[in-house]
Amino acid sequence: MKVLVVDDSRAMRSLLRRILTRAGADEIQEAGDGREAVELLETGNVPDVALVDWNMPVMNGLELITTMRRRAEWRRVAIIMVTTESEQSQVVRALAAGAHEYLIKPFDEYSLIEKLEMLGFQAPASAGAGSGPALSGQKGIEP
Amino acid sequence: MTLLSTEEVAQLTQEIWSALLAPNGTPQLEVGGAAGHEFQALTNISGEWNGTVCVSCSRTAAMRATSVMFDIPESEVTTTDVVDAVGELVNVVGGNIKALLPGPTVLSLPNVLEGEPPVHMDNLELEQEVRFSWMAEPVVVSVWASNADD
Repeated sequence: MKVLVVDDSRAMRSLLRRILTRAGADEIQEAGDGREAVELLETGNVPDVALVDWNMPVMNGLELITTMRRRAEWRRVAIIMVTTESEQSQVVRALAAGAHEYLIKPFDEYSLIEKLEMLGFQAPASAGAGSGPALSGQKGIEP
Repeated sequence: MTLLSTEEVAQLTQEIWSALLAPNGTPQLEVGGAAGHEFQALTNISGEWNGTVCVSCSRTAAMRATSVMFDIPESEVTTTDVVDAVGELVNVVGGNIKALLPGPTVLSLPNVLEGEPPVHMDNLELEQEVRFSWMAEPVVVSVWASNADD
């Protein structure tokens, strides 16, 4: 599984990278804002999953999701919004824009792995909630 | 009228510390202790409710938190790392406090100050403050309401 982590905090990206590595992710890319994420996507290395923060400078997470859903070649990317925005109206906005799942900070390792498994990715049994083989595969999800 | 109780602020801060800073058995955040202002991280809430959330702590606490979040030895932690990590802490604390206040509101990007005297919150009124001790180092979460409409 290839994952793109988009968060303006390097500390949060570091935390997410460690969880994803334990969960068996094959490749993890990082971007500090939505614009950087778009630049990475435009290189053609399209991930299976994107973990996207909401509040970021330059281009926020909601703008990134909207941009990704407009491009046919990026539509299959499963998107999990990982944010402190917990108001119901914000959750609805993110899902309407094209996010598949929503995870509120702070979260534990099990919650993230559970979200990945809900999207069809299997984590190893040693990685929290996982029970199948190493995180792999992709669902080719259309929002 | 106080919108936030001491217990609410204490509980959510302890949960955040536990999730972000206690993955490897790092001690929990305990309520009580002295003030500490060597690093102050601020985020503003605006909308139906207006004000500021501040997480302040000693340099040692900031270095330890950064070390845990980046999973690197304290000796390798830079000031840039601390600003990033403490900024993310106030972002998560502020976001969770925002959820307890009247909405809709918007959370600003964090701002981190190093080595400053305690920030003077002009035109702001202290809504709630909880002091913690984390491995014998001070951590303080304070919430300031805007008086701009008074």
